[in-house]
Amino acid sequence: MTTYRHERFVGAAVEAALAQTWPALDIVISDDGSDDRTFECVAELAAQYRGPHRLVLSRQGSNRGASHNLMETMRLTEAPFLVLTHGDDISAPERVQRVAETWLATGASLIAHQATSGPEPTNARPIAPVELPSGPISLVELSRTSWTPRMLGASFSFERRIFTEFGPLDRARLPRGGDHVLPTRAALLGGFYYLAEQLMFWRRHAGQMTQTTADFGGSPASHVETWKAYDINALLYRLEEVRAFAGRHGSTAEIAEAERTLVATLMRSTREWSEARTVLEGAGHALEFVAPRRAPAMTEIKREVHA
Amino acid sequence: MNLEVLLLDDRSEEQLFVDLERLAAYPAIPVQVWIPSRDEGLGERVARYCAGNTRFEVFAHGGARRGQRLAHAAGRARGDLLLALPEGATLDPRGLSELARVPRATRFLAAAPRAASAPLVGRFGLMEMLVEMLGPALHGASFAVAPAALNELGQRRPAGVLNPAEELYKLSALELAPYFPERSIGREWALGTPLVTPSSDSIDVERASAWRLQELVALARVAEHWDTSEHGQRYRAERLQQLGAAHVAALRVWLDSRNPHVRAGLAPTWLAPRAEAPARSEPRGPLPSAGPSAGPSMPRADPSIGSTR
Repeated sequence: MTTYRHERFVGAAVEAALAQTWPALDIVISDDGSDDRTFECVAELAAQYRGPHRLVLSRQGSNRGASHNLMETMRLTEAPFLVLTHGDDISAPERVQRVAETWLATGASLIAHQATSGPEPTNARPIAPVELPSGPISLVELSRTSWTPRMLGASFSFERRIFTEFGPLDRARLPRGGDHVLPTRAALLGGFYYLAEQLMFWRRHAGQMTQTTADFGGSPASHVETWKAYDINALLYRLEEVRAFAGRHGSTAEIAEAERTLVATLMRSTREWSEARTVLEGAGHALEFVAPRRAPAMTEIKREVHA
Repeated sequence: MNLEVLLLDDRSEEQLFVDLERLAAYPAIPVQVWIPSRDEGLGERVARYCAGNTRFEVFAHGGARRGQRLAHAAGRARGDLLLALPEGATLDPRGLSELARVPRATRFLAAAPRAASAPLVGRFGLMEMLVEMLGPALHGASFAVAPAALNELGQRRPAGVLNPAEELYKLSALELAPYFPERSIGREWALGTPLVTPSSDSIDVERASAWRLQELVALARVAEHWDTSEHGQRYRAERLQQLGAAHVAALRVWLDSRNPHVRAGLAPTWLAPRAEAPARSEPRGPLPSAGPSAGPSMPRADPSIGSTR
């Protein structure tokens, strides 16, 4: 579990992790230098816990980013298969059980699953269309699209080798996200599998990283331009990883087809981006990079209230 | 080869006279000056300035689109190659001195990329040109096109091609199989030194690289109209592969200019123009070049276009 500024939500996340039905887990919780009480909340719950799972807590000295924190988390366990969760989400009790059973049955290197989403669990809705069945998604099929709801990063469980084979995500080339990239890595290894079972609640809130990927509050064209830029970045990163993998291990007919498909998908996405950009530039709008409006930490809210 | 300069785009009176003064230093180069017909006073002042100098011709346009002006300018051309001089740009004597060795059959002329380590001189094809464009920008302002080619292209521009697509559109349309299957690549000619010195180099890397990418997107749309004959299919497959490679390379250049901002924690945001700032009539990017800019909806000849002389 990775956490950052999750003081308001982390209690529910940790309790859900501790309540997993799988007999004995290593539960590693790493906080990314939160400046609120996130880590204290985790530590209090851990101190009270009496159960079958082994807990490992870690706290980064400073905020280094989600990707770095994930790598730190993985450093603290030797398990070959990891179920990812975040401090603002809530896993269903059977989540690890179902994912682990699927891994053992399919050998897939990464498993994603259905989730519900909303500000609170009480009014959450499914993310992926409910009619989508469980099943493997091939490398070529993945290459036909950018992100889809079956690629929700918060639901990922994966073999360690998707990082040992490819390395950590290069944030100079992919500053945000990994949802698009990790399934492609998995498809090159043991496979990517989508499990159509609702196994977690993915919380939407102002402070989550997803909110910084695009201009969600802007005009439709601004939203498309920024979202497509994010999307294209991930597509290109996937293409580069596929090519690098082929360079290391040799290409196959499937890899070659995936390469061609990714280039076509990239060109299609770039066209959509270009149309939005032409609209914006034609109207005299200018691209700027500004500090995002981040949600204040609970300690800041309290300080403000007292003032 | 003889060059003819077009002052096609509207500009301030002060800038227009600065540009005319500069052009006066080149007595062998004919010049067409296009003035909005609503600005009669300016038209008269320019006509007075040019009086007695047959090198300068002054025309009025009633707000006609740039492509229309260009088509009319091509119809009146006296030079072998037309160059639309952007506002504030100046001709480069070094480039002009090389015109003498350009072959007569040349229909398209371009200067080498400004930052090219070794200037490209001679004939080369579309894809070589594309590759060069992806690093140091090949400046659209340096493109000079034969009047006949301009007319030809104005009639053949496929539907749905967006601006900014002109430079690559011209390159592709001059070469591509569907229109000229019998012609080989290599009718273009590149100069090792610029024909013009750009007036502004303030385009930041993100915008410049985004512009190139938009051009490639437009070229991909042109590719949809490529020849589907057996001959064309082979040509098409080869070119599409090259186009994909150029596209991927351009994407990396663009993203490498954008990612450091995002990595620094900044969010991309499109800001509306300030109320006091005049809205731009065209997207920013490399300076405009000579070329057909009107789309398929280009109206018939505008009766408001005519000589003031």
